[in-house]
Amino acid sequence: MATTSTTGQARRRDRQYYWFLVPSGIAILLLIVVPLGYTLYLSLRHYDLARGLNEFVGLGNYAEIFTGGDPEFLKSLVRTLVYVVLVIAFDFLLGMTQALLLFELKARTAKVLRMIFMLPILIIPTGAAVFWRTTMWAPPNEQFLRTFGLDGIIDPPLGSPNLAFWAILVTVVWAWSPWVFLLLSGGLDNLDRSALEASMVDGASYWQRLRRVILPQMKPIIFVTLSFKAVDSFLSFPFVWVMTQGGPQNSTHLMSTYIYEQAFKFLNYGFGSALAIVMLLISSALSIGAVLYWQRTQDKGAI
Amino acid sequence: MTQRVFFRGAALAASLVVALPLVACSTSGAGQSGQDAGGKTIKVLVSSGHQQFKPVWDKLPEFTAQTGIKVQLDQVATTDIEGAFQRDVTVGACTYDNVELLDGALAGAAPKMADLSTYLTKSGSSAQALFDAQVGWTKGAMEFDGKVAYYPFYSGSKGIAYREDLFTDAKNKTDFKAEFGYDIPTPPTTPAQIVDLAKFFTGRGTQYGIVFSGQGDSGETTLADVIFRHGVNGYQSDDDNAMWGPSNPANQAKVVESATWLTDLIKNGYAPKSVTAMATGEATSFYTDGNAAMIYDHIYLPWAQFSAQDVVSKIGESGSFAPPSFVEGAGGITFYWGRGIPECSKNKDASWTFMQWVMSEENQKLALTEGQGVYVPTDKNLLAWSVEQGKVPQGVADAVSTNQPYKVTTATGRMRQKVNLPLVDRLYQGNLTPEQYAKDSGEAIQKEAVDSGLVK
Repeated sequence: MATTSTTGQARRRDRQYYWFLVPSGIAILLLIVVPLGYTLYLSLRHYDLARGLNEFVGLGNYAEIFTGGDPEFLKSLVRTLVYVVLVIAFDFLLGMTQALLLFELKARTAKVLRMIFMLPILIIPTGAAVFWRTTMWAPPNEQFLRTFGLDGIIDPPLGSPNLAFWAILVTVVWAWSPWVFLLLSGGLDNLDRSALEASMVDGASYWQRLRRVILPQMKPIIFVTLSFKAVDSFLSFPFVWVMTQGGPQNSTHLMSTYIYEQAFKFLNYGFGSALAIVMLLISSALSIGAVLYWQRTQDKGAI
Repeated sequence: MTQRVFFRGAALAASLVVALPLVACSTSGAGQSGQDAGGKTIKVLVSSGHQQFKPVWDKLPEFTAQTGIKVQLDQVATTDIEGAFQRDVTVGACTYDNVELLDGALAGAAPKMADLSTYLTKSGSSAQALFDAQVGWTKGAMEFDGKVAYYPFYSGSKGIAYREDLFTDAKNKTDFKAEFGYDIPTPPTTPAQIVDLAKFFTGRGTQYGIVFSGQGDSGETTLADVIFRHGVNGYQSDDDNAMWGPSNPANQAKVVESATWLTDLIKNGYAPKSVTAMATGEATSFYTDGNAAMIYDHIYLPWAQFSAQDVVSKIGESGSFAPPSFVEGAGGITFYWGRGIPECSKNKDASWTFMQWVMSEENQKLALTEGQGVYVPTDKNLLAWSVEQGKVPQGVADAVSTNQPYKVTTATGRMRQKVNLPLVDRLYQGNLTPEQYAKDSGEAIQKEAVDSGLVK
């Protein structure tokens, strides 16, 4: 009897604490649930301000998307996935190489190099995009091409549908890989040095140490960093928009820029909202997948 | 503090989180739609890109002191202004009393605008008097179904700037005459003369004869300017069909000629192949770096830059002329803004008072002289004055004065930017022949006209 009474009191006390959730609950409602609900509502309508249309079409917009009624969206979806994979791969390769280099260097040299490696993240993305567009890629400057002696040999990349995507990729890796470097470098600094020293005493080569000691210990930080980068890259917008606006010939549109163009340039809010919902579902699936994978491997102690 | 007091405090805080935004909304709503202690308050939607008008906005307290009308300026990006207005009126909020809109948005918003002729008459003027004072195409661009939906105020057109040092060089003059049999024309009066000039100056004191922007929106409008100057005036004919689509096959040949004329400049090496990577900014840099003798572009935008000391020391002074037309009486493509009063505005009289004030000669001159960037007025007297002041290139003023009105509908924006632009990209890159471009773009524009419900 006494136990029941104590449990009841605890429940009542817990219920009272729910009031503390109210402010954040309201904030979530106003800032997330309402806009999301409204986007969902718009996605069920043919809401096209340029044409003055506003009518209920049910799942019509979604049907158009999934039946390939808008091939450009499907292309932008595939391009976005390729972009995410490539950005992660290049960011990791570059960031990890830099981090490992600094890990092996003397503290003072490492400090100076760390500052140099981090310089790109001090520039806001739109500023970096404008800089790369006008100074590095576009004529008459074309500094990137000149540096490698390619000016006059290949077409200016941002004007070529075959090269523009790669030019953007180079820019993005330059701009964002320092974040990856920073996080991985922090991870390396916190490695268990005793295991590393023991492997050295045992005569392990550098590659053996890297493969058997460093990378296994770094797995959690690598996983978190790359998961974060995957979602971030999936939502990437400013570089493409500033450098090409999706051109030439729609060859650089990512999902985010394509959706923005549909909704805010062509004022086709209904279709744009449906595209946004699809994008949300994909990014949610990616995020949930990453979290579940993380939890599962944590439980197994694999990471 | 007892637990009860603490919980009450938390509940109060939660209530405030909900209530404060609502109070803020209702306060601003009251200010927008009606009276306040100082008199009317009007909300005005303008482009944040129009920094030319900043000195005028700085004078708004004077306007309020004179009229008792308070002005709440809402400055949004040019690309967002149409959406901001359309959303506002579509959901029935109608918070704006005065808006400025770009050409592509005028047709879609026109049904929601008040007829300004009523206010012009009330002010002792008339629609006729307004348009008489403006350059010729404005009447066709601002009137919709007999209604004066907008007050014209800002325009632009493609022009050609050229290096005076090269054009006036004695040896160049002699050599040009020897090669082509006539003097270097300033200004050239035929498109063939432009080609001759481009050919002549290529590799003579500069790398290329001419440069134009061939990327994105500015690339699309370069070709459109040439097409318009062939007498194919617009994207849609009077019956809304594509101007060079299946319903208007006669225009196809003219579009082929236009595309051929422009791409031949690249093919023959008179213009750089890299125009495909140049928007106006890059084409301007290309010219000011001394790589081309002429630039065919939105030259009114960087006009002040052309007379900057560092540029003049490198390439000398620049002159300008309107691109010659291929057909007599034809003009190029015009870009323009109109200012309107929404029909649903509760403060139309105050909004009209504001419009008269902002469009006054005094304030337009203030924008032209003190504002940042270039402003090409549509008022004939002000346009001439701005050329005298060196604010607007003569070539652009001439082009703006001779351009013709063309049909703009709710579909025009998409026809240009969604449908035509990628095809123009392909044309410049050599992936489409002029014939293929004319056919494909005509069909694609026609499809957009059908999809838009404008034609069956």
